[in-house]
Amino acid sequence: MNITLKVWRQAGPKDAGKFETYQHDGIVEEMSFLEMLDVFNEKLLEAGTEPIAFEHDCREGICGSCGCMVNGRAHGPKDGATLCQVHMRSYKDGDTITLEPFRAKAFPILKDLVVDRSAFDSIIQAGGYISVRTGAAQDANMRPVEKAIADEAFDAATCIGCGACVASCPNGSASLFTSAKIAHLNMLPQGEPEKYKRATAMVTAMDDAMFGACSNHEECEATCPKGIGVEYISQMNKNLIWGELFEHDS
Amino acid sequence: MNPIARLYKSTIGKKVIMAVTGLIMVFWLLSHLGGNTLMFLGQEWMDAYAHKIHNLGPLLWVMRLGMLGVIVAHIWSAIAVTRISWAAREHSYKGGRKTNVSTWSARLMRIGGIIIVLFIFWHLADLTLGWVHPDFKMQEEGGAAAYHNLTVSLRQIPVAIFYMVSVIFVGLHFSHGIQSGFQTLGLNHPKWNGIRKMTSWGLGTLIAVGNIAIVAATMFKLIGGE
Amino acid sequence: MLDLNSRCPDGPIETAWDRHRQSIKLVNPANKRKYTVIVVGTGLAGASASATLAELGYNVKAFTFHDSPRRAHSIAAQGGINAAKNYQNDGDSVYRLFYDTVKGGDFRSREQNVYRLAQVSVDIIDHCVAQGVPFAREYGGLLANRSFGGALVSRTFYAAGQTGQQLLLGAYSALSKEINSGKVKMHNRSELLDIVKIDGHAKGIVTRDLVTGEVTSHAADAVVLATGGYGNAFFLSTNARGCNVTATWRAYKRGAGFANPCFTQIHPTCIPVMGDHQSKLTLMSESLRNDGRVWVPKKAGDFRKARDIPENERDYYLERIYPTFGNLVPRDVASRSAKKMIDKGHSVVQGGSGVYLDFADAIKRLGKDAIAEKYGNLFDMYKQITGDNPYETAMKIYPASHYTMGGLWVDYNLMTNVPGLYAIGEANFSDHGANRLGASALMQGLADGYFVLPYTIGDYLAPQPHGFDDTSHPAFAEAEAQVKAKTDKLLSVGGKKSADHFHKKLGKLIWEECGMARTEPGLKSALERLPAIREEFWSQVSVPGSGAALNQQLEKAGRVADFLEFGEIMLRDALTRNESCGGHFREESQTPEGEALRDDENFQHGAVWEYAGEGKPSIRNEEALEFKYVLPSQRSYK
Repeated sequence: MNITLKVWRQAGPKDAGKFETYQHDGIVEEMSFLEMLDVFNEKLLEAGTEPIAFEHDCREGICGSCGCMVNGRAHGPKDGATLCQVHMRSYKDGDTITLEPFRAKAFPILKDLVVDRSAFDSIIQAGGYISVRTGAAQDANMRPVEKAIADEAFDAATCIGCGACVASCPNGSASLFTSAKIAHLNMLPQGEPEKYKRATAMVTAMDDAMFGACSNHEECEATCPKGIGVEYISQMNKNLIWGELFEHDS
Repeated sequence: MNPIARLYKSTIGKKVIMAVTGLIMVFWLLSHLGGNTLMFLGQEWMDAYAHKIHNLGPLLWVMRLGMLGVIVAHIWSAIAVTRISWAAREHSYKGGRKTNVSTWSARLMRIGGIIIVLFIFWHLADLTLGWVHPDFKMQEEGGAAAYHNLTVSLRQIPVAIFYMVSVIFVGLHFSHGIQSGFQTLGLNHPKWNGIRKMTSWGLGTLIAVGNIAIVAATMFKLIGGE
Repeated sequence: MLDLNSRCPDGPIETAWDRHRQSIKLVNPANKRKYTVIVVGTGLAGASASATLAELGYNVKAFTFHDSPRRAHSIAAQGGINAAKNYQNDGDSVYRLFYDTVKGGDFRSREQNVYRLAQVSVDIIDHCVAQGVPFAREYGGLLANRSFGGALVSRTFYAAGQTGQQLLLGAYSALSKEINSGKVKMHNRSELLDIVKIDGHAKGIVTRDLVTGEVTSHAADAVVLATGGYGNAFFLSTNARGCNVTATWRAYKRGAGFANPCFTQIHPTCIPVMGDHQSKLTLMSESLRNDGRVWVPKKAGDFRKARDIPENERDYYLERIYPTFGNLVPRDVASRSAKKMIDKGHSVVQGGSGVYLDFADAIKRLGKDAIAEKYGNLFDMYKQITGDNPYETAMKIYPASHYTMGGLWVDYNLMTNVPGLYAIGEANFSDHGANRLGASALMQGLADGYFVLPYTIGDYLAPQPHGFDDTSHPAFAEAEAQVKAKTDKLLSVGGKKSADHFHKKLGKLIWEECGMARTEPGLKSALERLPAIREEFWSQVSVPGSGAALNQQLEKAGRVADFLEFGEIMLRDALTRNESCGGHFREESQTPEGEALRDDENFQHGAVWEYAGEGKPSIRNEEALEFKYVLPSQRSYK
């Protein structure tokens, strides 16, 4: 298989960057997308050029490291999959593949396809936890949790923090990411006491990190590799509104 | 701090203002459409309705100023949210970004909003103040101005087309805005989302089709006589 | 010789941990804030330790080479976490978990450590539930359990197939809370490149900022390594691509003993290697063997499609050799049997290695829906990766490197033989002996981080002067200079080959000679061939770009260079341990039926390798193991 790669090359955070076009042949369809890039990087290396920098680690769709825009879509053509879970059998000979980093004010580009997503960490640090000290907990079965609620909290908690939601959003909003974590914790009885404080703190951190506002295009949901739904955004809003209007203690 | 002001500080708070004001306008526009359909019943009905509204006196001014406040708050928060989003998307995709599920109505919210504002100015200048109207009659005690003003105005083809295009944008604005407003206010449940979206599209279609029907009927002289 | 005093408490094992906690020194609460601890790694062990140390009042400097602490490879663990809660009333107890773990480890772990692990396992579940980990629940709202890895009781807690993710996100949230409170200073994208010792004590580290390339020293009163295992010595493994031995290897070169490097776990059900471009292997849950039947064609070199091979030409070898356990034999037995079949030429992957795992009978017996209900997500994953549909054709599987039981030697307090240097989680060697049981890795990581290290570290810190913060000490300058020199050396080789090229070569060598079955001639030959790969690396590797910027090739090359050195003690450890135990199978030491044969008389000890200086052979030390509660016996699964 022979493919034309159009890749965003940017030497560093301050570099302007531009697309470079390459020919890449000898691709076999069992290759994963990232292995296709590995093989191409070997070629660049042999030619004495710097290989394409891209982030990846577990290569099984759970660590959230990988991802870029592939032909304008986050994580490439497959629904419910990260880029590392895409295989070259999704392409055919002669295709052109355009690779561009996730873009958002809050995700500055570090190099080529590598972006800095630490703004996500700052949102979690603001309130994405239950304040419990190690060793202070009662027996785990003291407090039953309805199965449906536990399952839904789990669904919200499967977010891998890859940033595809921000990258796909016309507004560069991190609402899906933030709301999934708020929903996961606020839904559980353990997270109840800090519910409103958490929503306010995390939304404030999200705004401070220069993410955009949600305008309900639902592009995030469509490209989320874990299929996390926009209903959590609505729940986040509800928690925030109620908290600010009625539960704020100042 | 005032809870509303505190809420407004966040992007979500701004969206809440937009949603609440938007939904108020939805009710207002639906009742406006209801009033407009009286055109089909003839001059007597229409003028009597206009007359009633006119006779509300100070209450009319309360309503007018209230609506003005709602519109200003809606636009104000829309601009604020848009500025935030543009800042967040400072760097656009050089290779393009594919849209997957985003609807035309969602994507046309900002441009549609601007068209609607222009339309409101024209509409007020045309049928409330008469500044751009070829033969404007002031509403007087027992007079019959509304029916006349409307018929004359909508028989100008460019004006009629402008009205129709504008209400299409109002319809599009509705069909994304209503469901989006509910979502923003926290009213989203997987079991009810079908109805939320259907209602939104339904009302969008109603506001556009209903108003177009009145404009078209007037333009083609189906109402208002020769 | 290394000082290998395990500092295990004497007396009854049931009360050993309590008595130990009462006897060790405590740091005055008012003084805790004057001590600083460096924690390297933010997986289950590192994140939980950082969070808990900070809660106790210590200042923590945490480091990860990832862009966020949430990316550590603990996140990929699927199965679950064991705890002796006995919620199922099926006769589980702390003692039974202890017993299973010691026996499963083939009597090569320390009884006291394992007992403590079983004890604190129950606290882990309580704490994780309190921090919001959404474990699977029953309809009554109580926690669900499943039986895992052939255990006779249901003691495994799980969150669908993503238990590691949920537990890591729990630890990450606790860590985030402490970053917010200011007690933890988080350093993302910072790779540890050396450990600094002052007067024999670990007092700091040297890191490279992976974005700017800046080499920086960090001082502290103690250093904790939670940097995971070395499974990527095989190149192809189920580990994440970034997993590496660098931190523990640098600690080793600074004097810490490296214990049992030959104890590696090979997981039997992974998707086989296809072609020569493969970069990593994907694990398929062990549960598949509950319904799938493993077979190969009777005729060697038969590459007809699975469905075209008639029943009488198939060899269901696990059922044939192990009639009692059949397809459910333990991991090491299943892996080794597959290898034997491949060695005899019965592979089902042309030009590669694989055996069939066939669901045709199960689908016939239970129906497609029942199978989809149980394994649907695994079948989808398989189809996505291979393009084959397991409902219609047999799956191909093959064993792959998965976990490493060896690691830095630590005492009961989890301190290495270097005072002030600790190792927790997969990075240490302590609890799993020669073989780890399913769902025990998560348990050990969190036990170390939440419940053991935060207390035992006080024993070391209390008598130490607090607040060491002097990176101007010449030891830091020396370490920094070494790090920079190595970086420069890598950048200046100017070869043509990628670091991956050499990593693959190393991996192939280790996999072939030090994988599922090991022999004396094979290991000796590997030890002879290894230096050549190392030399070729240092003359042929290509690392373009500069050291003063983000440079992934440079990162990779540094890690491969360490693996190339580390491979040596892995091979030597396997060679010296002339017995078979757990994941270490020496063909010379087997029963007449071909089962692993331990040699307790000569090898009932941990082998601890000691760095003797550049170019000098490492020294082998021994820590004798005593078994007072679980008496060594031979495993049999026939």
